[in-house]
Amino acid sequence: MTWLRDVDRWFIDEILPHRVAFRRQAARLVPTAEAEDLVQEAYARAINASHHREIVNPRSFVLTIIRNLAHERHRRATIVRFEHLADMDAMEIADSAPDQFAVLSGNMELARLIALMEQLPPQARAAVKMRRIEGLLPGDIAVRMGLSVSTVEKHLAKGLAILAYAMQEAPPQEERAPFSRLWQRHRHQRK
Amino acid sequence: MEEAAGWLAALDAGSVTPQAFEQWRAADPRHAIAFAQVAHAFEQVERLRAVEDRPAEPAPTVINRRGMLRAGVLAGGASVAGALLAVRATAREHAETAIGERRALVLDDGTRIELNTGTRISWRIDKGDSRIWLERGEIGLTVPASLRGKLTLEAGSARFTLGAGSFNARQQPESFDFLVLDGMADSVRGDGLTAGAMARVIGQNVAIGPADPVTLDRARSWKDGQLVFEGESLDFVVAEFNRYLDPRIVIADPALSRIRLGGRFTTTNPNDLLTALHASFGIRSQRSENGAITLTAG
Repeated sequence: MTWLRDVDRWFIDEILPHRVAFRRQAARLVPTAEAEDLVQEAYARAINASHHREIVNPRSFVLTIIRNLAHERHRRATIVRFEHLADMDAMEIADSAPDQFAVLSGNMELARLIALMEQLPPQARAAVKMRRIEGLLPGDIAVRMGLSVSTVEKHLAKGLAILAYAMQEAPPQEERAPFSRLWQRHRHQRK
Repeated sequence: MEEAAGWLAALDAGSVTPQAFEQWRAADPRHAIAFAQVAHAFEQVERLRAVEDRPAEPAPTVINRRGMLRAGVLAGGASVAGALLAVRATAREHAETAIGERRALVLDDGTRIELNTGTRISWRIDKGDSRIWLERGEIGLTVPASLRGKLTLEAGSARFTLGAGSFNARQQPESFDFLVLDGMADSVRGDGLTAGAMARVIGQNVAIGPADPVTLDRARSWKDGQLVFEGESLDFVVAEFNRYLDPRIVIADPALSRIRLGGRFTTTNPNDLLTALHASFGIRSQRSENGAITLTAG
């Protein structure tokens, strides 16, 4: 795709495959409701990195950004609950075995992708399928569906947005909620 | 995400100029991220060409190493020298605990006393009446309903008469705090204290009022080796920990004192606190030459 810059290519290939690990890391450090926001903030730092091709381990790079951002937030927060003081065991796991994680998330995606495609609204699914799987051009799809090109564009956009959004979510096989051995879990209470 | 998908579909159909797109993408890193995520989805769908007619591979399962680790780990903490010591009353007995130690004992009149860290008490039982002195530290008292004589608790100039129930008494640097967890007690002036009341004695001055829920929780929890906080500063948290520690923790960076913490800490082991402070705030701890542990911003 010509409209992807080198940094976007790098972001898709080196950063996005680890999104499950990022989300998990973030969820250990901040309340669940804030985890996605923390990951997005870290992504913004990563995609603005001027020297991205020199980063040896992009996964650790982003994990470190997430940790530092969480530290900043904790320092700004009025009160930090103990349950968000992460334990080191958890951090260690998040940093280990990057290859295994990458492969794992790749495989799951294929299976999930099929399931996700099935759940799209019919028009959006048809547009995505014809454009990407059958490889038809937007103009041909418009003829086939009996719609204008701009309407096909909207169905395609809708389908892609739903897919992209769903792909950022954690995979269905959920891990047990992190339970710190140091701190007893109390109910969330944040200002 | 919808916006980014709209741009991608428009680019794909050739209905927008690359310049207009570049302008939108450069305006905000969140645009670039959303676009990359949508482009990723766009690419991924194409992979389905190869697997259209094949069943999906099952997702492999991961062994949860963290769970395995946890099973093998036991949190340390101040050991409870839990043996109940039956003590014979003679003239004036005393008992004490070292820093980080806790112990429990039962007097001849049936009163059970738990001593927290760094505590010293003495007592005398004479003709059925008992007097207990808290010289330093903190104690919890459980007075049985079967008590026959009069039981008084003293600390400096403070004096309380206890009925059946449970109580907590703590010598603070500036005051003596007496809490009624259960049952009733009377101050020397004749003020009655019921469950949930606290008396704070500073010199000759006695102030009586309802105790904070967190103060009551704290008085109940130390017996299980738990420390309870409700938004206190790191200064306060470290001071509470230091009651159990020798050598102590010192906050070297005043900026750190502003951090406020809440929750329940289930051990008094400093290593666990230090590990958590490092993981969550990037706070570094270092042992200085005199053995104290100093905390600095990472």
